[in-house]
Amino acid sequence: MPSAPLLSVEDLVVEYQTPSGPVRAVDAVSFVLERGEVLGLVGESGSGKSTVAQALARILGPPAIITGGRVLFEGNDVLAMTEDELRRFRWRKMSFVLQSAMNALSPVLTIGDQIIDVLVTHERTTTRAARERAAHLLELVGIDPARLASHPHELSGGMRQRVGIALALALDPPLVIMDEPTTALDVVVQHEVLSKIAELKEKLGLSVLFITHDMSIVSQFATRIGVLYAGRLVEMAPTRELFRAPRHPYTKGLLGSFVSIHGPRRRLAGIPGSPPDLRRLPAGCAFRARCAEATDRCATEAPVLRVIAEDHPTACHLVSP
Amino acid sequence: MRYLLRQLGLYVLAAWASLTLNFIVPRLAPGDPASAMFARYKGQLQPEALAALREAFGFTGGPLHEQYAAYLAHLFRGDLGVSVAYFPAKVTDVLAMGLGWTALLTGSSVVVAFALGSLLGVVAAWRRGSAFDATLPPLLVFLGAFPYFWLAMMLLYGFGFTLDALPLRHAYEDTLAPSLSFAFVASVAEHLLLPATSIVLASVGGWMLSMRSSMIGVLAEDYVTMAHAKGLSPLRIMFHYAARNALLPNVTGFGMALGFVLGGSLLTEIVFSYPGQGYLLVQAVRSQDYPLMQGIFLTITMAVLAANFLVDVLYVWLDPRTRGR
Repeated sequence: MPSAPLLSVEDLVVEYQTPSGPVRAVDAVSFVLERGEVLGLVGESGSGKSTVAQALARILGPPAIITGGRVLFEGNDVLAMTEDELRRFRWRKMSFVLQSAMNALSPVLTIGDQIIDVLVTHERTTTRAARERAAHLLELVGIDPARLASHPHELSGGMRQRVGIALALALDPPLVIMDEPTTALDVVVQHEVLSKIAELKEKLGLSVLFITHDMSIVSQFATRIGVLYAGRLVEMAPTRELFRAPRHPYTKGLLGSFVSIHGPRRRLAGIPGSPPDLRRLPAGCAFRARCAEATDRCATEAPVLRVIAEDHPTACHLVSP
Repeated sequence: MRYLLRQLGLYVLAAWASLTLNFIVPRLAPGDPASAMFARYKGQLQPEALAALREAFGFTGGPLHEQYAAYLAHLFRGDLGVSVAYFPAKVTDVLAMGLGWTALLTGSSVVVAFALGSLLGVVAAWRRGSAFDATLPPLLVFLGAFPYFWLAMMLLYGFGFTLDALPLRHAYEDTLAPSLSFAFVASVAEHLLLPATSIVLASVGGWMLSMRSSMIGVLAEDYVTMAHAKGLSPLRIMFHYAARNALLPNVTGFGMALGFVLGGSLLTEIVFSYPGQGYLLVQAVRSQDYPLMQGIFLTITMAVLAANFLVDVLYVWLDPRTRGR
């Protein structure tokens, strides 16, 4: 099926089992990621963005359970795979760069061990061939191959994150999911890692699902951006369109809350209040309490995602085509 | 390497301190062991013999620093004096009798309990909430809550006396002479089974619980999530990624337990009349056998220090973060 998109997510629902009943962390999220595309997924902490990412490869541990929806990868239903199929699928088709490579690498194993084991598991190569490939991968991200013998604590934060990227590229997967890949780094190192990602994306023609809370970072990369709020997708549009004409009040708030060194000077505006408690979501729109323009209708009726402009769905009662 | 050398220096210092304490404490106690022994022999001992004894014990009657010098000199020559209870056997020879049996009994029990408990803890954490996890830890903790000598007596009564399946006492069949023959080794193993089982049963639950809890912490780490995402096999994730990290905090506890191996499991040895250190210690205390007591305390202290150093070495091997410090 060459016409099938690389990744298609339909009405994904993830619930956390808690003593006080299930909590919906991801509520009917749908999106499509085409080959060669970089899709940004933006939201505050607790908006469900990492949960979405981990649900895609089914690596969510208990108490999180995927309770509904479909995840199609190159037309294959990931949620219907057996454990064996799933193990072969993971990393070969979809790899991860996690938030802080500090914790994403086991402290007691060498960098080399952790790259080589994924190669040996999936490709049945000899350890020697895998070692050569691992050395090549480190070179690709600009790290001395002699570092294969190093342990994670011997590397700087930026180097660790680049090792994480090298690891993600080990099997040449069509999709790399980057979950806050630069959050734990300082600004200079952040820039270094981001330009490495941009360079590799061009060179290898990767598709990327880029998850972040930082609008300024995602704008440099993403071809399209989806905005998550309280487990729901509230707006999605091509990056340029989203920055030019944000529709949802939450997106407007996000865009108003970071500094841009380009363009006219303006006053920084935050979003008042804090994210809602997922255990006690109010009726109607989840953003209502923080929204300056909320109406009576917002209190009773939950807005659904409607296509407002071309390729620009939004879930808000206040916007109309 | 520098780290290990520094640790070693620290242990040598600690060893010296404990040797000195070992010298001072008996001299603070009322009574004089040589006179006590003299009394035991009800005057049959010649005054010359008494003087010789005093000298052997280091109670030379000179000023304290001279006694101390004599004590240290004897120690370095491996001369711990003569045992009172087993007179005229040398303390080192008496210790050699018990040491091997205690090392065998307690050593094997501690190693088996640690290995088994850790393995069970790993599996319980991995299958958290399963039937395995819901039944085994409470059961083993329940067993561990009994005093270990009580478990020993129950096993002795059940398997040794009522079922008559296993020997009741001693370390080997007394009709056999110690040798490396199959019959002798089999007899030792048979005699080892009950006392070792009683110690393992009493301690395995603790090891399991601590491994389980550190494993549960590790399972929430990003590198374990990452290992899942890498499509590795569950066994590899469980042992190579999770258990290897979860083991680290428990190695310390293992070292402590190993250090106390030579202290023996005193009451277990008494219940099974096992001829180890614990049994000797009781004999020594009963007959005010100071040289033997000193010798036993000395071996215990040295064992604890050696085990601590072993843990340091193990840590350097297991945890790369301690290297190069």
